[in-house]
Amino acid sequence: MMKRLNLIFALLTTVVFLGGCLKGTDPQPKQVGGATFINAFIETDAVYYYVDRNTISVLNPLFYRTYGPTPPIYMYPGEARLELYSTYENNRLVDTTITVQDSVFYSSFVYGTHDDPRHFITDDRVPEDIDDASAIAAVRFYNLANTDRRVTLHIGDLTPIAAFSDRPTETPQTGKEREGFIPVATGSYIVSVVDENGETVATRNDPVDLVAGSYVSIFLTGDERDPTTFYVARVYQWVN
Amino acid sequence: MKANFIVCLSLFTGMVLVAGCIKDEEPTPDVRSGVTVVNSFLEAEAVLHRVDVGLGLQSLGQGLGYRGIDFYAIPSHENCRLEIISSNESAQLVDTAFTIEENKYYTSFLFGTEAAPLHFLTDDRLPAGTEDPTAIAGLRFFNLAETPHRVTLQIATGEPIPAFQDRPTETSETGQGAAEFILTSNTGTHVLTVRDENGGQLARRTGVALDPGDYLTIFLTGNGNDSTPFYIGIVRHRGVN
Repeated sequence: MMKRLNLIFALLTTVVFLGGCLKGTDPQPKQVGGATFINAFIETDAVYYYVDRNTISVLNPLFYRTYGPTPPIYMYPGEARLELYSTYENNRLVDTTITVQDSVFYSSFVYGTHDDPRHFITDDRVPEDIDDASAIAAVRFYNLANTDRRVTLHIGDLTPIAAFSDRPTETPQTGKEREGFIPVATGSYIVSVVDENGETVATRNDPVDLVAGSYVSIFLTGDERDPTTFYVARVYQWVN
Repeated sequence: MKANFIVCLSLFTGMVLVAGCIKDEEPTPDVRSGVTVVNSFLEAEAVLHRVDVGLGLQSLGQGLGYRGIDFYAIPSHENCRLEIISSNESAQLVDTAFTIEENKYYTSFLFGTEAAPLHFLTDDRLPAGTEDPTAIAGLRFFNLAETPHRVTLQIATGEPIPAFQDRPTETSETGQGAAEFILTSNTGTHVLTVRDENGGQLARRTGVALDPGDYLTIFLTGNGNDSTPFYIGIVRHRGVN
C-alpha cells in the first residue's frame, strides 16, 4: 500500500513539473484604456496632477514639455475629479470632473498662462471609417502656444492639411472638437510650424516617424514673449 | 509532574486572558495644540521662534524666512512664552505670554519694523454655531503690509466682503478682532486682488483654491519697494477651533 502511494506521488510530481514545459498560449496583457497627461504649460517648471485627491507617481510633478505615464494609467470607469496645481505658489490651474468610460484612451492637455490656464481632455480613437487601425498613420495638430499668430503645420513636403492650417491658439472647446486623428501617408518627416506670414515659427530637429499604426499628436508650444521657446512637440498616442 | 504542569499552564493562560478584562487607566492621547507661524517681517532675512512650554525656551525649526509660513504641534500649556528673534544681530522682536489650550489651533503673525515690531496671536475659531465646517469654507484677511494705504481684498469679481474692506495696517488689537473666520459658500478657484482706497491694484494672486472645508488666512505683506513688493500671502490652516 505504502509503495503504491510513493509511486502515485512520483507520478504526480512528474506531471506537475513537466507540465511547466508545455508551450501553451501565454496570456497576453491587454491595454484596455487609460489616460496620458501632457504638460504644455510654459509659465512654471512643472505641474502636479491629482485624481480624486490622489497623486499619480509619474505626475508628481510632471515637467513642462513632458508627458506621462507610459503606458497610459488605467482609470476606473465613472466620474473622477481632476486637479492640476502649478509648482508656482500652488496655483490651481484646473479643477474639473472627468467621466471615464471603459476601453477608451484619454489625453489631458494643459497650456496657457496663470492668468488664463486652459485645459481639455480628448478621447483618443481610431478614425471611424478605418478598418485596419494598424495599417495607417494619423496625426492631429494643436496650437498650444501663447501667441497671437495663426499657425500651419507642414509635414515634410506634403500639402498642408486644411485642419492643420491657420490655427489660432486653441480654446478648450476647439481643442476638444479637433480631437480626431487625420490619416497621413506613412513615412518619416521633418515637421515645422509656419505662421500666416510664411515665417517659420519652429522646426522639429528630429524627424517624426509616421510608421503604420502610429497615432501622433503634434503641437506647437512656447511663448511669444521669448520666441526661442517655440517648440514643435509630438506625442505617440495609444488609441482604441 | 505532568498534571502539575498542566495546572500551571492553565492557570497562566487564565491569567493572561482575564487580565485583558482589567479596566486600567487608559492612555490618553497626547495633549497638543497647533501653532502656525507667519513671518511678514520684511526687515530681516529670517526670524526664529522660540517657545517655552514649561521646559525652557526651545526653537521652533531652524528659522523662518520672510513670507515664510510653518506649522508646529506643541504641547498645550497655560503660561506659554513666545520669543521671536531677528536674524539681524539676534534682536528680540517679540516676548509675549499666553495660554494655549488643548487641541486648539493658533496662528502667530509677526510684522512691522525693527523700530516697532508688531505681533498678534489668533485663536483660529469659527463663528459660534457653525454647523458643518467641512461643508463650507472660511476666510479672514489681514493687512500686514508697511503702507499708509487702507486696502481692500477682492475675491474674483464679486463685491468685497465688508470685513475685508478699507483695512489699515493691523495693530495687535485689530488683528485679534478679525481673528474669526468669515464663512463663505463661494468655493472654487479664485483670483485675489488687493487694491488701495483709490482702486489702484497693489497685488494680485491667481489660482487660489477654496474648496468646502478649506480655511484660509489671506494677508498682504511687503512695502511696495522693488525688493519687497506687495504680496498676497496665504495660510492654509490645518485645523480650526
